[in-house]
This record gives sequence, C-alpha cells and structure tokens, in this order.
Amino acid sequence: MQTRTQEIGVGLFLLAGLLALLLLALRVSGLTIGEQKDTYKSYAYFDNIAGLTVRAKVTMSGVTIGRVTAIDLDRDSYRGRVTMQIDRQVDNIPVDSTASILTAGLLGEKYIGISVGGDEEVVKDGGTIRDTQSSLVLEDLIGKFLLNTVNKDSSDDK
Amino acid sequence: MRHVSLLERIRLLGRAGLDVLAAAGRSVLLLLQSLLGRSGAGRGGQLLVKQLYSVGVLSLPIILVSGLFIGMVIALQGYNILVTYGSEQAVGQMVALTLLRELGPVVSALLFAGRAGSALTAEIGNMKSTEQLSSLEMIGVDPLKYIVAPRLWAGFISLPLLSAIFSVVGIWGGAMVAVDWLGVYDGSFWSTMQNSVQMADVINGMIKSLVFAFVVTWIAVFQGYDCDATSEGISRATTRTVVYASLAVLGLDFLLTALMFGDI
Amino acid sequence: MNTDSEYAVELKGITFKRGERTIYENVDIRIPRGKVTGIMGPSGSGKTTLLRLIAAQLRPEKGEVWVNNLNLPTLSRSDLFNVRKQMGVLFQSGALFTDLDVFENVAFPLRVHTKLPEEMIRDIVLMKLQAVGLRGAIELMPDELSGGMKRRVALARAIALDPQILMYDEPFVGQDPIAMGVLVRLIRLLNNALGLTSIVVSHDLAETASIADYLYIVGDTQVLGQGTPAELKESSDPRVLQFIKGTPDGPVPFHFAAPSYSEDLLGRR
Repeated sequence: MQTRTQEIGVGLFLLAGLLALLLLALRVSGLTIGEQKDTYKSYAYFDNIAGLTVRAKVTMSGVTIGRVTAIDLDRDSYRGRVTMQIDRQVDNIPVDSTASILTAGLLGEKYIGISVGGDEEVVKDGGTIRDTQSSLVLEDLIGKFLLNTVNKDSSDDK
Repeated sequence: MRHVSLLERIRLLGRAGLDVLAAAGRSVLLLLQSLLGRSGAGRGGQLLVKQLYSVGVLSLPIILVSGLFIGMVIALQGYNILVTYGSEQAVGQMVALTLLRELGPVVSALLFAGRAGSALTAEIGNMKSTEQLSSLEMIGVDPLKYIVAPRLWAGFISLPLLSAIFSVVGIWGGAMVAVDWLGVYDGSFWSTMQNSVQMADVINGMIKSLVFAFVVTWIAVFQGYDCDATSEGISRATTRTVVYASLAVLGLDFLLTALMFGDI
Repeated sequence: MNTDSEYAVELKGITFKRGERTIYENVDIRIPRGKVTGIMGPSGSGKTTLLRLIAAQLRPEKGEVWVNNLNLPTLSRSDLFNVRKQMGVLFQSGALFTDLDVFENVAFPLRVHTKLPEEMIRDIVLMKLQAVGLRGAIELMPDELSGGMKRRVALARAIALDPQILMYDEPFVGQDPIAMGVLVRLIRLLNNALGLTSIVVSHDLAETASIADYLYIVGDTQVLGQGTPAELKESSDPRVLQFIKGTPDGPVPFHFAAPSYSEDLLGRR
C-alpha cells in the first residue's frame, strides 16, 4: 500500500520534472527543432555596426525572417561584416534591397531591418546585400545637434 | 589559561590541515565505493524509488511555493524599474533569464540543502548511532551500496528536476503578476522572452543544477556517514551539511557563471 | 590451522590503538567452538572493540584474526561480506531497521542473501520469532517495542541465516530483571539448540558467569584472567579479584591517568 502511493508520487514527480524541462525548452526559449536546416546565408557590410550583437533578429516589414550569426571586420575594406541566416521561405529578396541597423524603441536592442528593392535578381545563398545603412549612433547625433545649435546661435548674433 | 607556544600553534594548524585532507579522502572513497561496482542487495530500483520519494517528492511543496513567490517578486520589481523606461514588456525576458540562469538552480539547491540535505545527514547519522549501519555490515550487506548509493542517485536525479519545476513555476508566477495584475500585454511578454532566451540558457541552468545536485547530496551523505555517532554529533553534522552545501553552491555558482557567461 | 580445530575464533598478538590511546597490546584470545564464551571487563576497557575486531569492522594495528581458517585483516572488502554471513551480532541497541516492521526486519537477511520463495521466508521468519517468543509482534514497528523486545527481535534476525558464530554486545544492559532472565535463558538455549559458538561481551558478572562456559577478563590493554567461572572465582590475581568483588580501588585504579594531584593544584600559576 505505502510503496504504491510512493511509486505513484515518484512517477508524478518525474513526469512533472520532465514536463517542466520541455516547457522551458519550447515555450520559454522558443526552440524550434531543425531551425538551422531551412535557412540560407547572406552578408551585409556596414560602416558602423555599433550595438548590433550576434543572435539579433533580421526583419522585413517588421516580421522576423532570420538571425545574425556572426559579426567580424573585413580586413580589406575596414568595414564590419555581418553574417545572417535567412529563412529559406524568404528566397526572393532583391539584390538592391537595403539592410539597416535599427533600434527597438529609443534604448532597446539593435536589429537589422531589410527594406525591399526593385531588382529582378534576388540574393542567393552566400550572396551580399550591398546597400546598407549603418547604426544610428546617439553620440554622433547629439554632437551634430549641439553643433547645429552653436552655428545657429552665432548666425543669430549677426 | 595554559600558555600555548608558537610551535604548538603551528602543530595545531598542521593537525587541522591533515584532518581536512583526511576527511576529503574519506569522502572521495565513500563516493567511489558506493557508486562503483554492482549493488550488493539487488533491489536497487525499489530502494531508489523510496529515496526519490523522500528526497524529491517531499521537497516539492517548498520548491513550488518558493518558486512561485520568487517569480512574482522579480516581475514586480522588474516592472517598477522597466516601466520608467517604457519597456515593461521586457519583464518577461527579465524573469525568465534571472530564473533560468541564476535563481532557479541556486535557490532550489539552497532549499534542497536545507530540506533534503539535512534530512539525509540526520537519517544516516541516526542509522549510524543506532548501529543499523554496523548491523547491515554484519548481515553481509554493504551499507554504502544499500544506504548511501540510492540516496546519492536520488539526489542527483531530484535536484535538476526540482530546479526545472522551480523555474517554470517562477515564470508562471511572473507572468501572473505582469500580465494579469500589472497589465503587460500578453503577447509581447512571451515574445520578448522567447526572443532573448536561448536554449543555451536552459542547458547551462541544467548543468549548474546537476553540479549542485552532485555536490549537495555528496556533502549531505558524507556528513551523515562520517559523523560522531552521538546525538550531539548528528546535530553538528546536520548544521555542517547546510553550511558547507550552501557555501559550495554559492562558490560554484560564481565559478560556473564565469565559465559559461564570462566571455560574452 | 585447520577448520575443525576446537577454536572458532583465534586472535593472535592483537594490538589496537584508537588515536594515541592503546586499547589492546599484543593480546591473544581463543574462543572455543560450540561453547558460550564470556568476555568481561570494566566499561571502557574496549570489549565492544574486541567484537568489532572479530567481525572485522575494525582493523587491528598488528596481529591476526582467524575465523574459519581465514585471516580477516588480509581479506578484501567483498570477501569480508561473505565471511560475515556466518556471523551474527546482537548490538547493544538492537539496531533494528526503523523503517521496516518486525517481520521485514527478520526477513531482511533472507531476502538479501537467498532466493527463497515468499512462503518459505514467511515460515522461517515465524520459526525464528517463535524461538524468541515474539511471533505475536509480527506487524509492529520497532519503535512500538520495548527495549527487551527489540533485542529479542534483533536476536531473531541475527539467527535468521543460521550463523555459526553469534556475538552479543552487552545484552543485559538496561534490562529489567524479567527481560534479563529471558535473555539469559535464550542465549543458552540457542547455543545448545543450534550448535552455535556464542560470544557474550558484558560487564554483568552474575548473568554472564551463569551462562558462560569460559570467561575472559580484559582491561588495561591486557587479558587479565581467563578460565571457567569456577576457576576464576578461585583466582588469586588481585586484578581479577577486584573485578569479581567490585571494589572501587585496586590494581585497576579509581583515578583516570593524570598528573600528580598536588602538582596540578599548586604547580601552576
């Protein structure tokens, strides 16, 4: 009798534990099995990738279509090279599309947004998106803003 | 008080050092002798079930309640800070990452040391003082295989599962506070969480939890097996289990965190 | 050495130390086969240690422990467990497994070491419990038993596998006169009925002398005296006489070894 209830208790405990692990994997970390298979690789070069991190999302019209898998410096052009894995389903990105580094909210994380171009030719596996817009650097912006104000003040004085 | 010469002090220090080394040696021996080789008594499965019950199932209530409250508190605190930056939907991410990477494994290990670890030490110490262990030996059953091994395995299995349950309940509690009470939008709560939590976070948390399970159970069982077989000795051993296990968990947590997340 | 020698256990030149304290120094003890041998001595003289040496739960610093033609200190851990199946020990507290009831306690050695069918285990357990007069207590848990009953259940468990050697660790301590009488009778009865070799470690002189065929008196790291109870009563050794008569001071000093009293009181500032 007693062993029976114990065994049932232990069985439920093991079940609950495994279920919890499964929940953590699927619901919380959003793991989808076989994710790597149906993607293709493409590159984009930026003058400044400041703030962009590996695993950042790649979006088109606000829909996530891929992830950044690597960031490194191109030795010849001194530009940052971003490697992206794009979903295989989205295989019709025109080569003259623009990749921009955007910010979610004012202080949120950086991600890449792709705005569609008009070319017939599409980006292939291992291809490059040429048209890029670099990260918005807040410090530069503030610097420009200050400079403008100073210039304006000095012209007002005249 | 009697005067103690410098040489005597040095001798005492050396004595203490040797004692620590000897205890470490005995604990390794205990581990190897109980886990290696065939189990003597044959009824391993039944013994393991019994221990899983007393070590795992009986720890569930405290794990469930603590997990729920900790998740709720993180959500509440996180919301109050994040709402000033207008990014309160990130509370889901915050709750999940905090629980998976740190609080889940660490707090459940600390609770486990207090609930199950101390009970293990007291139980084995009691068996020693009432000569049940000697008696087993005389019946021709190795107490390391019959008493110690199933308890070690039960601890190794239970804690990682308990810590997963802890995290899930905590995230659920966090969602309850954030979504139902504070009005964070349900969809963005879960999507920011899923976007930021990697499978690596879950796996790293589980690795931590496995390490903690190993260390806490080992300490608890060793302290019980090695204690002075008196009621005073048992109570001291129980205290030592909780103190040593907690310190080991916190120290190892830093070490593991540095190894796993240090170079990001 | 041959197995059928008249001695079931032989200790040869045993030296045992606990920390820096010497418990035994070059001691020889021989336990005759099929008899009840009493080992007596004042509390703290290491009688229980002697039992643990025979059971190889402790290892002597020097010397040999021969049981059934085997020198125990040289055996491996797993061989020891095999030898121990032929020995039973009745521990001071009984040492029943607190999470098992009386039946399961007695059945435990059978379940572990034999593959007997359940009915046969039941029959054996009932027989052993009948022998100690506790067949009615079969469903009780150990904490529902009195001290004397615990010891009797433990005795039933110790004889479950029909050992050749049965050791009793202070079986009479803390027993009321009736329980004591029951135990004394049981020890003698079992020894004769099962053809056991019994070793009784005790400091209760009258009870032990009444059942033992042969007595050893140990103390002060040595064997102080040996012989049949009658011989020992006639002994002229002052240390043996002190123990038998129970005088507080004598060759076995009243005072624990200490520096000189006056020096201790006056010598320090």
